[in-house]
Amino acid sequence: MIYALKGAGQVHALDNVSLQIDSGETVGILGESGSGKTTLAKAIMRMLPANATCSGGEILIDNRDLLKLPETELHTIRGRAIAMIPQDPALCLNPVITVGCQILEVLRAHVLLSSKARKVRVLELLREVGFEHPAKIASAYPHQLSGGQRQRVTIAQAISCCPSLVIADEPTSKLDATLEGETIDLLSGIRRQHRTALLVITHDPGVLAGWVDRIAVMYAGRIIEIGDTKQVLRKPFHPYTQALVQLARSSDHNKTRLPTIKGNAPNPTDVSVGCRFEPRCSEGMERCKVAYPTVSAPESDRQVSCFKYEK
Amino acid sequence: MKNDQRMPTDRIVSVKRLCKRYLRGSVWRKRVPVNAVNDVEFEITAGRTLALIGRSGSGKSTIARCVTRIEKPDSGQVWIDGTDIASLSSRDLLPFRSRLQMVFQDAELSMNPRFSAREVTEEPLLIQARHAEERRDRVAALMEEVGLSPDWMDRRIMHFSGGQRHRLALARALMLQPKIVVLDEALSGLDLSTQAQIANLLLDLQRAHSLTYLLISHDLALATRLADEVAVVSDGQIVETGTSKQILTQPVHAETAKLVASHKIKETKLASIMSTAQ
Repeated sequence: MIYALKGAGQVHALDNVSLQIDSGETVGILGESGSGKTTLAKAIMRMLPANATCSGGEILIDNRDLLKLPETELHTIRGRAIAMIPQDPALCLNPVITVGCQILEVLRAHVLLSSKARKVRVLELLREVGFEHPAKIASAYPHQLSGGQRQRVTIAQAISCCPSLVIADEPTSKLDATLEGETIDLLSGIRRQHRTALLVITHDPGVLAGWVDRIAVMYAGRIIEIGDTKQVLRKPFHPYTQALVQLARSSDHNKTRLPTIKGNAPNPTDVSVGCRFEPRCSEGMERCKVAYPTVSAPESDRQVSCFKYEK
Repeated sequence: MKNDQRMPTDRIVSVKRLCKRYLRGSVWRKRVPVNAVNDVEFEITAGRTLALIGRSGSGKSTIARCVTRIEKPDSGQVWIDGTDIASLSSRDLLPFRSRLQMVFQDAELSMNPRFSAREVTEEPLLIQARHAEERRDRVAALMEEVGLSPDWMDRRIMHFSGGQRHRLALARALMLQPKIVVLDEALSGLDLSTQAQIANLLLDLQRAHSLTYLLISHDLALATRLADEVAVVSDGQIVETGTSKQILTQPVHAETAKLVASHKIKETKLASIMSTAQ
């Protein structure tokens, strides 16, 4: 459904990114901060800042290229075909409007319903995201709700127009562990019921395990490995994915040093021709410094960008 | 213990019957008191780490703010190194401030982005009126210690990454050679690999300076890993204390069991997926 290829300005925030999401499928994007995950999400929504330019590529949704759509037609896509669940719900809800009205607003913009039917729909949506007393919540202001409740309101807002794709940008990073589990259960329930495609962006493999269909690992603006969730977590091919999975798995509770990936994420303004992970890689070879590896497929349904697997 | 007037010497921090109440409501509405911290007691041995864990809104940050005297507790005692600082005036508090430092949740937001790394980290020394040369040496030494190159001290904060700013926040907290460092969610909001790097740095610094940590966190995995002892906070009260292992394997209180359960679910999900092939 979606296919993106993009470079932004002086900094190549995204470089040769290709990703396809089938309808009803859930794809997780895994990467450190600065790897370009959020830029990818914003590019799909066409919400990039003014200083970003797309130097090539296309973003197809239901066979329409978003990059060719004029600004005036984008409202038929945003909120309707693609919806986004923001990272920080506290910042994305208007503090002086009740949450019921804020969901109503989305419906008014996109769906033809009588005002009475709209109100009924809002209550329906709130019940769907797990509120037992939807009327009470609908008349509340964002500050009267807890963080977890606000997150559920933004989820209700996102699914209000039955979009074909929902993008969740770090949906759990601001929540504590109990709420994290509840939010994941809610998202996976919604995916099953509405058959919407879901793109989950996170830096924590633990958030994706057990419910996401495929994982794409991003590093420095590129997808370096993509495959079935179980396969990627069980048998990661790329050295970066291996290190990342190792980090998530370590569950030692003695007071000992934690395993880390040495070094820091690369500075996006440094332009190097070689593999961007090479300086931190334990298995770097000479050729990694001079050329970027092409995509190889060591297994079926698996794509890795690493010289180790090139023939 | 409650009747014990003097503090045992190996307990560097000893909090007794700490209470803090806030008033909720405004001029127009009836003011409702909220017991943010209710009769909290704990002790930390010098050089050890106590983690306060709990859900958001359980009152753990308020405890931290009372211990560092950012907030004045309503009642109770906060013994730091043999002195009760709970009711000291701000003038009498000054000498204690340097012994007790706090690292805030958002390292990025607690620094002026237009300041240089040096300006940010040397501020505590300026307040203590130290010489320029001494300040410079100290900044260089501490930047080195937290894993940053001293050559970067004149770079602006906005040019540092999130992980690097966390390192600077630690350098700033250590500037006056404190004995106790309060870490309020100092590791949340970081990537896994950066989080692990900062956690290792905390362990190294603790060993090098024999620091005492009070760690506030909602991340059970990290807290149990870094702490010697864990206290579970719920509704402004400490409901359970124990070693990391005890809390994880034999949770007694319902709140602890809930926290442990949600932590275990995630862990087993990952483990079940990954273990089969390895």
